[in-house]
Amino acid sequence: MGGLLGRALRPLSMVASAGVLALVVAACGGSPSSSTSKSPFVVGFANPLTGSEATYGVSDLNAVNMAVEALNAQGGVAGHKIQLISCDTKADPATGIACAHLFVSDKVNAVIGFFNSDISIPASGILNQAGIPMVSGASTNPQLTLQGFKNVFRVCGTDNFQGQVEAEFAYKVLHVRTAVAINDEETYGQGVSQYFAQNFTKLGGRVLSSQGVNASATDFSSLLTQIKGLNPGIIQFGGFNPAAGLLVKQARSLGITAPFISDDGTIGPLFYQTGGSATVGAYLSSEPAPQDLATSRTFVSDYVKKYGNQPTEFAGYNYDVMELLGHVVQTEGSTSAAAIIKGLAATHDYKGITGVINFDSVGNNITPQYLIYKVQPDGSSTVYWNPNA
Amino acid sequence: MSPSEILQQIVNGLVVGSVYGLIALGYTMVYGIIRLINFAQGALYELGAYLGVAVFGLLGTFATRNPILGLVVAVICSALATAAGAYLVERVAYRPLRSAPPLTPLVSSLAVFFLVISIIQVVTGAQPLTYPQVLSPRPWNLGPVTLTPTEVMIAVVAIALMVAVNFYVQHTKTGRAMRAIAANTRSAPLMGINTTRIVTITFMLGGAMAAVAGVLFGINYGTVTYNMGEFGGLVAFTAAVLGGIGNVPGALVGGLTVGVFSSFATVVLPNQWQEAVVFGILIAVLAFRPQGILGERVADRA
Repeated sequence: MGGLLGRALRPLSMVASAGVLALVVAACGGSPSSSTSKSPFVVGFANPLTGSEATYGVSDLNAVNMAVEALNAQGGVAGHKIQLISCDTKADPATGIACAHLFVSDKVNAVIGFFNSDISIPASGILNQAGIPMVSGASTNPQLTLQGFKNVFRVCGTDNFQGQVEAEFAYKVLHVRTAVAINDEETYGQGVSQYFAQNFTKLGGRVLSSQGVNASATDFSSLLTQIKGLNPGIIQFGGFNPAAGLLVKQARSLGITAPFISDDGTIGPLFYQTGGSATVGAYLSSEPAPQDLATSRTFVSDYVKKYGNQPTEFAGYNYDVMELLGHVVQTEGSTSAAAIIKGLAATHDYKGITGVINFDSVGNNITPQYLIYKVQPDGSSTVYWNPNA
Repeated sequence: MSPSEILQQIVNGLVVGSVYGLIALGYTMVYGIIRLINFAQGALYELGAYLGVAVFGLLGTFATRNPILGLVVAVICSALATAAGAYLVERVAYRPLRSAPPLTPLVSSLAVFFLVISIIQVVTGAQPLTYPQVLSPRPWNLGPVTLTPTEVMIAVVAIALMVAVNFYVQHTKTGRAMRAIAANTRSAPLMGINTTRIVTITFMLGGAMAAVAGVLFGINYGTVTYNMGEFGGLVAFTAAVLGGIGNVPGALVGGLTVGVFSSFATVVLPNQWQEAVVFGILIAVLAFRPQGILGERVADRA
């Protein structure tokens, strides 16, 4: 139905994206019988709602809807009922950018999104020109907040911060003093690895070697033989599978017993599938699943009660983004873009369900959480260390 | 670099190299008899690896309970099925072009290569598939070097097969026919040799060896990817050229040499240069010694 409605309303040029457009009008929000005379607080939400990453996007949408319903049940924020306009990015940059244009033409007051960093970054430029505030609860690429845009914020962590948490864990918890940092020569893996090395050195550790590997290579025995000779206290890898699984498997085959640590590009079933029993005991840094955060317990149980399944990794952050936007409009008393951007920048110790939120000068959350997980004998990963606990 | 590290790098290189040598056999034998560089060989290697996954999947719990027997079954089934695939490729893509200019079947072989890899990608998706752990992952410390039982098995099986193929070419009637065709394609039929049949056997034997290499690769790394045939095929081609294309023992020599070279490449250069070194060898051999290491033994060409 959303598709038909969209086709009737949009000009021809938007027909292509109209099929993916779904209007979700929150309870009472758009109803003419609404008691409030104030204009609605219109929030655009963009995530992958269909396709291979839909599990995340749909869960994020569910979480945001929960927050919208709760806020509207209290009479809205500063007298404004919240109206959500949701747009499916299909995890495809072109479709995602069409969502950004849609938000601009619909004159939304704020945007929650996007999910994929490669959409968030170009879309943030479009929203910046239109002066619309944008808060992402899932895009972790550092570049997003390094473009000099005043309208862009994120509550989730950055890839770089993961490297820092890994370094602290290695130095303070495992008490290792030497490390080898390997990355897959891609933006994400290089970032994590580089920040691991920097922070490990800053703490007083010594990085014996930093090496790049080809992400599609399968044989790392030559590199690992050199690493074995260096006898490091820990092996850090920034990148994805199958490289991560193959590395740890071949390291164990060569008799290297040093602990192995990798990141949220690696966490998941494929790591255990490729590395087998060699991955058991490996450490993985990752943003917490809502189920693993004490502050998210009520959210998780409400979510499960309402939707009948578990929220995914970024659902808690998206819930926080909606609640935070509501809080900002409430305090500023206005839904204008300028007021929201000012309010977001001034956020001080906002207590969300994923933790305390404060933004730095570029719009990154200063205290995002990353946890260290440990791979169990059955291949699952459980929380091993919480840096904030 | 400590002596034990040097030794370990040599051993790493020999294990990887023996697999490349096995794939190189197919290149070298086909080139030896019909002067065709059969680029489809890399795809057959990948096909063999994927068929191995399929066989393990079909065996299900039987393979979990009898891993070694499962491996034997997987190797044999994959080799037979890939040999059948090689027959099909030869029949469809090369035999009709037997009298065409030499470049035509070469292009045809590249087409087969991409066709097979694309089919594998479509059928399995781009996700890597995994092999079961057949032998214990616990490494052995053999003096200064560390090896897993799997690695030892791979080197032994690959080298034994290469020796067996060499014996077959040198000491059997079919092998003699192969050498006769290699020596003179036109006069061999006059000696009563069924050229078509011998060429088919050569293709199938090469395909079967590539399949064994594919399964051994899968067992060793535990993971196979839809593009493994691209790199594997090109490295094996380098091995064949380095050993002297057309020369059966040259495949073994070339494979082991490429393996050890690429193993040491990362000692002097950053790790990501490993592949560049392999292809640097290919260019250097083609430029300075196109006949390869053993290539001058023309009489031995199979």
